[in-house]
Amino acid sequence: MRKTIAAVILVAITALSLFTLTSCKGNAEGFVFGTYYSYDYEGYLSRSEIGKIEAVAADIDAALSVSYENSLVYALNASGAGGKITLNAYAEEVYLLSSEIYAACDGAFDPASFPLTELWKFSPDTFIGAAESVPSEEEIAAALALSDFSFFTYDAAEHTLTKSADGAKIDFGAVAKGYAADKVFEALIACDVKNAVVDIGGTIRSSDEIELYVADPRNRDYAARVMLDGKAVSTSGDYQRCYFIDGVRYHHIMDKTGHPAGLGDPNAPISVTVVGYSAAVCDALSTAVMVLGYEASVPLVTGYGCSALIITETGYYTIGEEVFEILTERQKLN
Amino acid sequence: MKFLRKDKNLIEHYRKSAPFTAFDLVLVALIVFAVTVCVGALSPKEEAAFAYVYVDGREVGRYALASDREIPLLDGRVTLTVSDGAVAITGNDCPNGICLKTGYISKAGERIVCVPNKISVVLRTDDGSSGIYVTGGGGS
Repeated sequence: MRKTIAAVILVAITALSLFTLTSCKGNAEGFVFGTYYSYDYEGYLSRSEIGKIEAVAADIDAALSVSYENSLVYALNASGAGGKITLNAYAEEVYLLSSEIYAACDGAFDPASFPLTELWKFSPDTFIGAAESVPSEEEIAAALALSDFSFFTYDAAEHTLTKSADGAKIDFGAVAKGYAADKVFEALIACDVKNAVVDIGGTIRSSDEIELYVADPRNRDYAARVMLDGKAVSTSGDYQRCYFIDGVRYHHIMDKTGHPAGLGDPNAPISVTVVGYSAAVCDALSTAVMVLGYEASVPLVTGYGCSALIITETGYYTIGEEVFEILTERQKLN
Repeated sequence: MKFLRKDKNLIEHYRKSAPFTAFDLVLVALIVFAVTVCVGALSPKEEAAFAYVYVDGREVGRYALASDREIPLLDGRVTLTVSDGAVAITGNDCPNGICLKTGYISKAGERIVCVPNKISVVLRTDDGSSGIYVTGGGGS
């Protein structure tokens, strides 16, 4: 009897030791939405599960890409007035979320501003931006007139989106990475893995606590550190997709006047990090806050139950309860 | 004398005993388990050991940060340099140059990305863990 008990204990301890030693960590890497994606997890995934997970990000990209010629969005943008697309489930969900946030921030996050994005030379073929001169005010006014979300009409019964103006174009790029991070995360969790972390171009969704660093917008360093516990995070900024003309920085996030947000304003956000429970919401809000600035963003960010770190040239603001440990010398402004 | 008698009894006891009982094995297993757990707990979580190199999502190489070297990628169009426990992309023919601006990285979880050439360089620990995560480096 004693030997049997001992044998059982021995087997249990050996199994536990082996499990501790070989706790299976998995990861995958790839490219979607013009950036990298990766996911980490602990557990086991079959080939078929991996295939399904990877198809999620690829399918969302294939539906929403502004550069992929077979995408729904490309078809709508290429069409004239009266052009119509039937939204698939992903595109419809992204459209509805975008509409909601567009309304909540009074158009600061505007998926219809793609004509301006192209005018300022941040289209997919010059993704990070490249220009030798800035557009004229007449050109800006013309592109601004086309950058109107009301040119796109949604039919809930038919699941369609119809365009009512020639030249109007839509781009869900400011929410798509976050949305894809959420969907890939859900697909991972459905496979019973643990410690799942999905990272699509720095928009991250995690099931457990991770140590997260916020890139510094002006140095090769980290601006802040935050312990992200089962949440999502996204950062927008003026420092990667940008170019300089005569010493002036022009970046890819457009404000409601048709210019790069905060142009010439030393107190404007240069980096916005939003933490919440949905990567899609964090993604969209980080863009909106870049346009709105600190004060107008407080009700928006808190209304969605999120927190934010807003970095300017002169200091930083925080919104919400998340604790951001500031790692570089910056003055707290609120 | 009393002690000697006791010692003799003990010696006799151990001579007749089996060299290892089942519970001895359990004790050894417990020690192994405790050491395993302690080593795991004491291992530095952020110390990068390897640079994993991916091209379009496929791993094309894994390089120890302990050995300085230059690694040509994509038929020499891209150069990866490992130096002093850190790694950088030090040569690239792509138009963006974001990867060159990233400079050297050394913490597990840090990454260098070249979108036009679809290259990711990711640092991981000995056991393949990511360590930290970084937001704000993806061009949003």
